[in-house]
Amino acid sequence: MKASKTYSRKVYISTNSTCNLNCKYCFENEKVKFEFNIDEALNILLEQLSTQTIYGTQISLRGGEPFMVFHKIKHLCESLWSQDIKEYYHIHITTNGTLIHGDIQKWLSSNRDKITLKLSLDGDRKSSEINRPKSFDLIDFHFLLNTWPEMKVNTTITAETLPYLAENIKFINSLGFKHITPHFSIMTDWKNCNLGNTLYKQLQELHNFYLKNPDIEPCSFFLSDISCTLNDKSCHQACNSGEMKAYDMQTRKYYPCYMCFPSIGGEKIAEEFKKLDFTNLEELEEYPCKACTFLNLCITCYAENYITRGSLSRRDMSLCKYQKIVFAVLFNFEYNRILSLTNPSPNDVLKMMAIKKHYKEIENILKEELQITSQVEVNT
Amino acid sequence: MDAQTTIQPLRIDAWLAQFQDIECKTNDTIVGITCWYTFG
Repeated sequence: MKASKTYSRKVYISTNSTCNLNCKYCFENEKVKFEFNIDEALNILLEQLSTQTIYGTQISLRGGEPFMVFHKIKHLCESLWSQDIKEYYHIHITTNGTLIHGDIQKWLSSNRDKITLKLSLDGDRKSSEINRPKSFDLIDFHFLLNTWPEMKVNTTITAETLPYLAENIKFINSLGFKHITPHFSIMTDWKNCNLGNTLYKQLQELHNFYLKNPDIEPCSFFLSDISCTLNDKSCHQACNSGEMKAYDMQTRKYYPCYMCFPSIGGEKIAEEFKKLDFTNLEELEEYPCKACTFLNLCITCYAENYITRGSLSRRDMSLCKYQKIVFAVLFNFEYNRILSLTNPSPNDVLKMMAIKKHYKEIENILKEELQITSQVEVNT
Repeated sequence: MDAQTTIQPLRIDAWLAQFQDIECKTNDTIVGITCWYTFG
């Protein structure tokens, strides 16, 4: 079976609720400290892997901080690898990186072809200290990049670190990480932060940086495919929630996604999730988002919508302003990038058609949200 | 390059005219951006 970036099946296993850091934006409700049972996890995985899929299975182990229970993860993985399993599978672990030293490094290094790590890193020392104190100096970036040169990084933006966004993304790039996914912290009230102009300034700086350095992969804010805005109707994939199997070792139950685990939204909500239909989100979309030009670009966590606002499609409107500013700069970036191409792809042509269709709305966003009036030049 | 004052509608038209022979069409297979938690 050939490995693929897109797996046919994703299985999440909760390994532990404990963490060695105290991130200010953490949404885990860590009332009960637990660690997974190795035999139980092995049985769950063997059951899932007993049927073959086209593109294989991604197994995601998640905490807390999974390497708090390294000895158990090691035991689980080695037990799994010793089995005769026909299904292709690969193990992914998201980590804060601070515990990866000594024996953990040796074990990961010798199994780098079977395990991939994703790093949570919010920026340079200053921003890391703001979001997750006493973490930055504990991360062995050299080891991580040597072991996985293509390692992906998740960067959480809080109101306190947003003013340093461009600096942080460029810093993470300078360390050698190529694939950076920034995202606004969830379950956070952004309403009164009043950071629209600050965000725009930061994104402009990145916009200029990426145009001047075309060999650097832009962070994910600049990679969204704007051609999806040519579709008038919602065409969201249901964030894979319906196809995913997330097994909560704490309650010994399957959920549509690990964001539905009782440790995040509570037991009552977790049970309600099981009754929801994640497969037809178009019908579930609500106004005003349903009428928004940028609906298909707007990343949302349906589970968080449900937990925080009681409906799968009720997005966080306190983030709407910031999302729209991201889209405005993205359209502008794509316009400048595509104009410079001598051999555009069909998708680039589609993107330019999307820019033509929506530039007036981009202008309106900047007028309404930022009081900027000179973004769009209308040549007559 | 300044991020402001860059989108020029007439320039878009001129650009698109250059590449009108490139076959491209939108259809329902274009999907929206999805949750960062579960992809990538």
